[in-house]
Amino acid sequence: MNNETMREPDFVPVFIYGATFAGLGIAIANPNETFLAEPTSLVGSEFIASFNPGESWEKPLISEAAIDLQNDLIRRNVLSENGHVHLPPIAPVLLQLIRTKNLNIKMMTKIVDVQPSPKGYEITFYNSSGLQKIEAGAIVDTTATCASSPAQQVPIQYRKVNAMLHCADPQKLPKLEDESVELVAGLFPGEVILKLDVDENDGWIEARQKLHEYWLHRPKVLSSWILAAVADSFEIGVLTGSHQVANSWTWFPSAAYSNLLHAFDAGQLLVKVGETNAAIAAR
Amino acid sequence: MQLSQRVNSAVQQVEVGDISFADEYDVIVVGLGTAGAIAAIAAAQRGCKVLGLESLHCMGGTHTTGAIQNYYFGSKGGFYETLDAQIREVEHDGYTAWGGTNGELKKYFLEQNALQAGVAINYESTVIGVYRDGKTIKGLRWISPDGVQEAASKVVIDCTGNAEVCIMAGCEVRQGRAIDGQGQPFSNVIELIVKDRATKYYTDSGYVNPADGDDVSRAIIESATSPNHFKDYYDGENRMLRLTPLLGVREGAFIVGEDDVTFPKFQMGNVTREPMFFAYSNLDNHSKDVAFESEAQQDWIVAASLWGLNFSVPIPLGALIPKDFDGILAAGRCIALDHDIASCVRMNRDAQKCGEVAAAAAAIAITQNTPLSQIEYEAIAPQLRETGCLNENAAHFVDTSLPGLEDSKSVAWLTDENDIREALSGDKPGIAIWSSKRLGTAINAKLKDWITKPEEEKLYKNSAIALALQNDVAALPVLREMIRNRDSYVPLTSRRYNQAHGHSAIYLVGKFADRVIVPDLIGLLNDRGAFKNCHADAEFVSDDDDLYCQTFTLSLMALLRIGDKHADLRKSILCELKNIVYKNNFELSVTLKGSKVIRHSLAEKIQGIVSGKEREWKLS
Repeated sequence: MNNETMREPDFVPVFIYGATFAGLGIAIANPNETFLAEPTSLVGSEFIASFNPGESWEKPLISEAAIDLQNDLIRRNVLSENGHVHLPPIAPVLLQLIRTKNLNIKMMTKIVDVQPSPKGYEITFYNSSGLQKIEAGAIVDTTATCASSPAQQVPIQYRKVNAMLHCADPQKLPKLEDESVELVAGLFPGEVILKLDVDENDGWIEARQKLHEYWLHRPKVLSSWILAAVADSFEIGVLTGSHQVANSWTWFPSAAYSNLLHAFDAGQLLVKVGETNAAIAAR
Repeated sequence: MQLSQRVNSAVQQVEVGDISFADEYDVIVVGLGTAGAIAAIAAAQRGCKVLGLESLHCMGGTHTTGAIQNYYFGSKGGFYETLDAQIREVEHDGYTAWGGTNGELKKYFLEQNALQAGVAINYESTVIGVYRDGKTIKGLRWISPDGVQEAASKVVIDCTGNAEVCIMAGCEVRQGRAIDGQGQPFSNVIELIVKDRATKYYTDSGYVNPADGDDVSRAIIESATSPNHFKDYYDGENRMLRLTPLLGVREGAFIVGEDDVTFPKFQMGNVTREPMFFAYSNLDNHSKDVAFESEAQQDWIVAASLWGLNFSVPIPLGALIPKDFDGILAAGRCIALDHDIASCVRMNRDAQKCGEVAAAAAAIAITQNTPLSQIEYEAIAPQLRETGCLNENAAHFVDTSLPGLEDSKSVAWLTDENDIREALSGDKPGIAIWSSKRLGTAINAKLKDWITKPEEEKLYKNSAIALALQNDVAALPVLREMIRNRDSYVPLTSRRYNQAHGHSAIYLVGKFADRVIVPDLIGLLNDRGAFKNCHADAEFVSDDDDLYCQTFTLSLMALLRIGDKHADLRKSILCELKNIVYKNNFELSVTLKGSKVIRHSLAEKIQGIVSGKEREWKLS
């Protein structure tokens, strides 16, 4: 990149990569200090677009914002008291939250390069307007694969490709013998998610082939079901917590948490415990 | 060699000297969507070494992940049909067909066919730079999950939909309509379960400039929080499956090509004699603020109500080649079109055909070592005929408002005066009106006779409209009468989007710059309360505000045209307009297609048009 052609970048204390539940939790806790870049047109993809309803819903939430979000989801009938969840409408709920909180967000925006700078990092990103730069005191990457640092070796515990099924006459969930396949009930009758284990290093080509081959030769107990939609994001198992990429550059994967509310809660708590203070100090 | 990039919305080139690339391809297809998926497979099947770059995680674009699996017109035939046939063999068991083919299976079958043909597929990859030597494209730079990558390519096929690579390379482009640069509305599509079938739902969601990152973000967020998506309570009926990860953008930038296909050229019969394929649809402009469209388009849809007439547009190879460039092709909806005709040349079938044409052209250029613009027609046309991509026998005009099968609804322009008289006397006068325009002075004497017969009301008024389209002032008294009577009669020429006679008349008096009608038009603008909708086409005019909006915008543009011609009227026209549009509570909006709830405000646009005219007339 020819630096002379780029105008002086703006500064933001914290650059968050990924409009994940954790990323949104961080941004909503500190909307004036954060800049959120999301590489896709979706939000909360690590749970919503991956069709991962999560688990451990009984575990209590800590932050007020996470509890408010939980209550809002229950009130809108997309989350039940016992943890059954209707995932798709949660995306508009999050986007409304982004509007209400007036978050500084750019959708369909990918990081191209990150370089150290006097105030922290100079980040080159790309979206429909072309290449642009921003300077940040700190980077918090909330993606499942630490996409801000392609060189980073990310320890993936498991990878699943999921699909939304539908059955006109939903019975009790059928039992499957294949241990690589799991069925999880959604909130509404007939709403069932099929989870298929794939190799940790599989890409979309391999995963899609495995899924359709399974479905085209599925067990008889699923013969009356239809495959309604394949997930647009992998369900990826990674370790929870903050992992240092470099000084003031953290990988904080949202997908690591047991469900979407806990990921959001974790983002809120990250700010509360001051892990982004380095960024603020850099101003 | 230069590296050409878009930086902060501007194209910039830097000299990079001689570069050697680690990877070299015959063809790199950018965007494996509706056109690009077919382009990649078809190029590889012709023996090319192909790399496909796709920013999403699957192939098929709007046709698959955008959930528009069904075929809304477009012309049949072509390589894509063999893929669809493969899918139909298996989709009955465990999947649902969506009017075309199942989207999930199409993603899968496209991918498998691509791999089998030898295409290297890079998902989640976005082009960020183009290497060029003068005006010949040499390679690409892109960002992938593995970081920044580069490769050389003999031909790049831009299937991004928005001419993103062509723009980045420095090719000339055009975008939107003349008055405000506005393209067509976009949709934010939802997939859902209806009656135990996976299907889709969408309305128009608003407007977006796909070349502006901030506007794209705004559009994503605003559209997904509209009443279609964001609800107080989700009851599980028509259960949502997902928001599609791809906005349904109908129109972005178009390349300026070696051979541009425009609506005025089409209307005059100035079309290529060397077609690659025929695009086929109606002039499917979703926008309802038609008063701001071009004169060519308004002649067609406002005066003649021909919105629903399907027609075939022959597309030349030159429409895929950016002007003066080599080593790069565009395919899909960003080829060399104008805003008007683009609404007809964007359907799934035609996009797939366009991809096939690009692949054939690239392969020939590489094999024969010839510039893309020098490819002989007879070298490429037989290949396209063989798959059915090129079918010169396809129907050219089809009246889709008629009952029955598509093949039985073919129509032709009228030439016999008795046929024209009969059609002008009925409820479907549009084809006769346009036929009269084509005949010109040969029919004028008859039209002038027919406008002396007010007892034959439809003949009398439709003849006036036909005369007006030929700029014959004899039509004016009848047009004025239609305006003064607020003529709400709506013809049935098209299946939808027909214009009331009164509205056609307002548009046409504007074309005449008729100074006599000014007080009547001002009167219409100031009489908002009198507009009560009785339009039968609820999709076009949903409510009283929609009706008033049509009248207001058409009257506004007519008044400005009158002012353009008559300098002495400018001050009074502007004064009246400013009194209305600069009032604090001025608001004018129109419902977006498919929705009775989501409205698109025109107030700011109208204020801008009025203030722009004030400056143009030097009255500010």
